[in-house]
Formats: sequence, structure tokens, C-alpha cells
Amino acid sequence: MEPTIEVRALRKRYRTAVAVDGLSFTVRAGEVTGFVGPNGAGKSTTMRLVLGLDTPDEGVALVNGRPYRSLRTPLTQVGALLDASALHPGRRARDHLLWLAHSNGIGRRRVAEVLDQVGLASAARRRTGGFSLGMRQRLGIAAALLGDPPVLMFDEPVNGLDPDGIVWIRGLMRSLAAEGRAVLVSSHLMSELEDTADHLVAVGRGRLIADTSVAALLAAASKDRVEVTTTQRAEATTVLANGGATVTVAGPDTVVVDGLAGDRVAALLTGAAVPFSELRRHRASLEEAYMDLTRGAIEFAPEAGAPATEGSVR
Amino acid sequence: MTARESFPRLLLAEWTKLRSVRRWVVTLLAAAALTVGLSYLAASSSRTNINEHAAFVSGPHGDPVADDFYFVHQPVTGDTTLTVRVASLEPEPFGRDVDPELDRMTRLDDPSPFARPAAGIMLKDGTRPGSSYASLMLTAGQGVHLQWDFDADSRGSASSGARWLRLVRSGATITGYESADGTAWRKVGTATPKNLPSTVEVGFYVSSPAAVYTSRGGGSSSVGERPTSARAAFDNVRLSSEGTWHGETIGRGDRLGEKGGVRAGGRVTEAGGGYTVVGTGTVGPRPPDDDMVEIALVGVIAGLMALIAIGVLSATSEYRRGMIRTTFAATPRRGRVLAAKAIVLGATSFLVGLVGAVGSFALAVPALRERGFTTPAFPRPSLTDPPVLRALLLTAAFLAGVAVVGLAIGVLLRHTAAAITITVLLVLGPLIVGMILPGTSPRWLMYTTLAGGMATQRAKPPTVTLAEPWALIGPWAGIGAVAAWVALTLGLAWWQLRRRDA
Repeated sequence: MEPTIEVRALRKRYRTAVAVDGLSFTVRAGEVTGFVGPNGAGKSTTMRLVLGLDTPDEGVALVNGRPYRSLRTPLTQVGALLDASALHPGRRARDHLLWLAHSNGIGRRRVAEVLDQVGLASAARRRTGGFSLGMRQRLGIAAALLGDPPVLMFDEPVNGLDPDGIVWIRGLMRSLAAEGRAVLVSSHLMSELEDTADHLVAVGRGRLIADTSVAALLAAASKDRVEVTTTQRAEATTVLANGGATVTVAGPDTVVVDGLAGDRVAALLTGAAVPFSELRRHRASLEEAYMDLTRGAIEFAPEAGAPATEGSVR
Repeated sequence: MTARESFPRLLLAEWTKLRSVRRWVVTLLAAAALTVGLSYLAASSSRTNINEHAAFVSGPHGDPVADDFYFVHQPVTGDTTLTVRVASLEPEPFGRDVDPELDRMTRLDDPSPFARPAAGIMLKDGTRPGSSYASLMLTAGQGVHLQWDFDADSRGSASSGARWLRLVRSGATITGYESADGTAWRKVGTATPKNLPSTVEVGFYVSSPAAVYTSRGGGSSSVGERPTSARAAFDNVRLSSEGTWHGETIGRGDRLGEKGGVRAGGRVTEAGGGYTVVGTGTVGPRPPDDDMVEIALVGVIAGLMALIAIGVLSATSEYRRGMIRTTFAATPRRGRVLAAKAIVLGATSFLVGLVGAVGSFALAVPALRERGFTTPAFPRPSLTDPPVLRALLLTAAFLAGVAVVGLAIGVLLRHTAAAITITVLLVLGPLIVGMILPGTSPRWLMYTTLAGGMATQRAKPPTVTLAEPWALIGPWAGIGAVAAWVALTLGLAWWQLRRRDA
């Protein structure tokens, strides 16, 4: 069967806060699925539920069609990087992977292979207490790859990586998907998923906001917008707003115009004698597209820290 | 990829975890080294003068024995038969030197067949205390017994009234018979004393062990003895050869003389062919209450603390950094993970404990022997003595058990300092309370807590005469209490692991 992660009507409540609230989505084989949402949106909780670490109050999470807890050698089915710092600092990188390999009956040769694959071969005999966050991320990724699993989950894998590392991990995820694996990558920053994700699952306050392909999302967000470069930004804004457009400032001499076609914008600016050096179709960034998408959800949701300040009100 | 899950591989995974943290390996080695070091230090600074002031003599097998009684005897060479009738056996009033009520002491009830007033007949290798013998006796309240060489006992009838007794020597074996009427004889048993030269002393005797009073609690213990005396009437004395009877106190009959102005010992009077004998003292084993093996293992408590830390950390270190999620993601069946952890930790701790215990024994025993722990009171203990071997193995098992309890409590609390504190308290708390509680009252505490495991260090039987409360129970009861705690805490940990989110 095709490697997948399936989440159906998942719900998880911790004491007072609902972390995941009726979440359903599917991660398909051969794609990198971005799992986005602000901090506290329920991404990590969802991943823990998928891995059988926490028990859902309602709903099911299936990996390759089976509940994770029924898997006998789960590392060969799903590789996961949850928390790169979940290491004993006194243990050598190689030994950390070795006990994992033993627990699933994976041969010890594989340990050297994955260390090599993530670029830690020279640090194999070092104790992880001396590792940088980036090295720990790489070790966590090596652990995920250990069982050569068809499904992979990475929780915020880019954290702490240097620019080289970021380029490397993007390439790794692309190639894993290209090999036909199902890859789920979470991030609270859309920009990190630009050029990496094929599909997007966006969550906020534990609920699904969007489940869409990246291409469709970008196309929708870019539609009908025009970007104007002008030295007289204020005048241009006034003229275009009077013409019935929504104008957003996008830079010191750049505005984005929504609601007017390109030739109409040119006509209005020329008519009002406002000089402009460039006028082009706006290409939305994934970030922008996401902001459009989640505007509704975010407005009422100052997520991070909200439950913590509730104590005194109660 | 070929991947197969199996429990032995899970054990290997947990072993890899344990051995790959250098600090833990150092702590494990330190546990053994601390045990040996503290045991040796303690042995080097202890001293006893027990052999100078107490009535210990070495028996035929080298064990400490008591050999005090009143003997009416004559030498006989070769095979012989002695027959007597013990007409009566009664306690003889004796001047008191200890007031048990005043001293708040309780009388020790020793159920041993060697601890009864007795009147009977004996063949003995001379009159030197501690020499080989065989005796057939009527005891007060425990019927007829055939005993030899201070430790062998074979039981006859439960008769308490007048009794006919007969000993027959034939070469190296001595056979005892008893009879109610002097015609119908019944065999009691056959004795084979270690040393039986051709000429032995043959005769009749009376012994009456001292009453022992003890008091323990408040961190100390004391033992007092009050000598007793018994009077027996013998008649129908028939020996297969001719000779003259000679009455004599064997052993240190006057050993308590100074304290109460009492002259123990005895006397014999003849009247109408019968003899009345008054005697005092014990003929039987007399091990000192102190246990040399236990003293040699004092350092175990230090190793215990180090192993508790390892046990707790093997659980809490995973929770502290969230590594437990990696563990349970790799092996979703959490009960198996717990079992593997417990087995790996238990086996490792057992080996470390065994090295510590054997090392302590090897170093501390020679040090103790230089400091008064010598014969006759303390024969040299050997690694191959079953009680010594048992003490060393069970001590290692005790250490392993407590380490596993530490693991389980670590899983339950997920907090290193709290788990270590509670586990240490589970051992030391009952020990301290048990030290203070008087008499035998701490016994239930030892049966039900981890502190009872300390009893594994003893090679000698339980006793109420020592301050340490774990001496009140036997080693198997002690290890049983530890096993119960292991089962209880592991069960709770397993239940919590299934129930709680990782």
C-alpha cells in the first residue's frame, strides 16, 4: 500500500486547553506536505498523537493504514524528528543511533550509513553534549532515516541550522519525496516551506484552516494584483485609492495594488502625472498567501501565551 | 531492509543505553569500589575482645561451643554399654544475679533442643571442654534426645517422666536406646562423634542452660544471663565394666561467679545405690550473636546509594530531556521497555553488587581476624560455606532489587531528586525507626519494607540480641520483602506508563 499518514477527526485536550480540535488530513506519498500554523497551533501535539505517544480523546491517526502502537518495528515504517534536544548529553552520537537500531533489530552497519548521510560521520564518536543545535538536528534526522522508512515526519527541522544546513535539508526532503516517500514537515514560518512543500496543511488553534496544494494557493493569492515602483509613494497611493483600489505598502518605493487591472493603474498614474519606474504583475510569496488564508483565523487568536495568562481571570 | 523486533534485541538496546553513558559506568564501578572500600575501612577500625571474657571453646568442627555441665564419669577402654534410669529431673533453686523486671529485659525463648535442662548419659573424648562426645538425655519438656559433637541431634520419644537410657559403643559408632520399664527397649539413633579414641570417659551428667534476657531498642541492645541449675536422680546405673565413679565440673562452671556471688558447677551425692546430681551449664552450639559476614559487608550501604542513583537516573534521565518519546516511538509496547530496563538494570546491579560483596568479604575478613575476630568465638568463614555464599548472593540480589525499585519510582515520579530521596528513605526510614523501636516490635517493619533486605547480609540465624533491626528476620524473608516491593513498584510504573501520555 502507498505510504501515508492519515489523521481523522483527531481531538486532544490537556487539562484546560484544547490542543487539537477535530483535525483531519492526509499526507500522501511522493509529496512534501508542509504542516504550518503559529506556535501553539497543535502541530507537535498532532505529531505525538500520530506516533502513539499521546492518546487522542477522539479520532484516529493511522500510519500506512495502521495505528502506530500496533507496529512492531515502527522505525522501519515511520521516521520522526520531534525534538532534536532529546538526547543524553553523555552519550556518543553513534551509541545513540546504535540503541535505536538494536530496539528495532536494524543492523549496526546502518548507523554508519545514516551518520554519513547527514554529514556527521566525523562526529560519530563525540558525545552529544558538545553538539550545536544544528548538529543535534542532523543527528535527529539520522535517527529518523535509520530504518529507511517510507513515511517521515520532521517537527521544525530547520531550527538552528546554518544556511548551508537549510539548503541541505530542503534538498533532502525533496529527494525523499522524489523517492516516493510521504514527508510531513512542520514549521511556524511559511517562508521556510517556500520551494520545498508540494502541499500545505495549515492549522490554527488545533483546527484545520487549509488543506491545499502550494501551486493553487500561490495562484489564488497572486491573482489581480499589481506591483508599482514609484518615487512618489504617497501620491500614488492617494490616486489609486481614489480609483477604487486597495493599496498596500510593500517597500520604501513599492506599493501593491489590489482591485485594478494593470493597464488601468498605468492610466490613472499617468493621468495624475505621478512618475513610476516599474509596473508588474505581483507574485505573492507563500508567506503572503498564508496570511491571506489565515487572516480570519489569526484575528481572534493571539495563540501563544494565551492559556498561561488565564489563571488570574478564573 | 531486514529488521526484526525481539525481546533480546530490546535488552541489547537498553544495555547499549546503560553502557554508553560514561558517568553511569563510572558510578557502577564506584558502587563496587565504595562497597569494598567502606567495608575494609570499617573492618580496620573495629575490634572485639569477645574471646577474652566469654566462655567460648572450639568444638570438634572448630565452631564455638559451650561445654559446661556436671559429669560423673570413669574411663572405659573399648566397646562398652552404660544403662541408667533417670528417675526425675527438676529445676534447682539458684541465687539470682539479674532482675529482669528491674532491667526491663525480656527472657529469650530458645527453642533449640540444646537449650533445655537435661539429665542423661554420655561418652566423651576426655574431660577437656570442646572435645567430642555423644549423649543420650531426658530434657525438661522436650522428651528424649541423642546428641553428639554440639550440633547433631536426633529425637527420641516425647516422654517427660522417668526414663531408662542406654548407650552402646561399638567401635566408632554409638547407639542410643530408651525404655519406659528397662525391658522393652527402643532405638533412638546412632551417633558418630568425630574423635573417639579407644579410651573414653563414660558416665551420667546434668546440664542446665542459663536463662538469657535481652533488651534492644533506642539504637542499642544488651544481653544478660542468669545461670540455672537442675537436679536429677539416677538409679539402676549399670556399666559393662568395673570402676569408680568420679564427679567433676566440666568447663568454666564459675564463669558467672563474680557478678552474683554464685558458684555454678554442681555436686553428686550417693544414697542407696542411686545418685543425685546437681548441674549447671550448656552443652551445645554457642555462636556469638555478632555475625562476621554481616560485619564484613558494612560497605554495602554505600554501594546501595550509588545503585539507587543509577536506577532512578536510568528512568528520569529519559524524561528530563524528552528522550522517553524516542524510546516509546521506537518501541510502542511500553511494558516491554519497562521489563527490558528492569532486567538490564537488575542484572548489572546484581553483578556490581556481587563484586562489591565478594570484594568486601575478601578484604574485610582478614582485617577482622587481625582485630579479635578469631577462634574460638569466630571460626574463619569461607566463601564456600553455604551460609556465606547465600549471604553474598542474596546481598547482590538485594542491591539489584533496590536499584529496580529506584527505576520504577523514577518512572512514577519522573523527577530525579524526588525519586532518589524517596527510594533512599524507603530503605533508611524503616532502619532508623527499627533501631529505635524496642524489643521485637520492628520485626513487622522488616518483613514489609525494603529495609528488611539488609537481613540478606547475615550468615547466622535471626536473633533478638542485636541492635540492628534486620537481625530480627531471616535472609529469605528479607529478600522476599524486597521482591514484593519490586513487584509492587514495577506494577504501578507499568500501569502509569500505559495510562499516561509519554
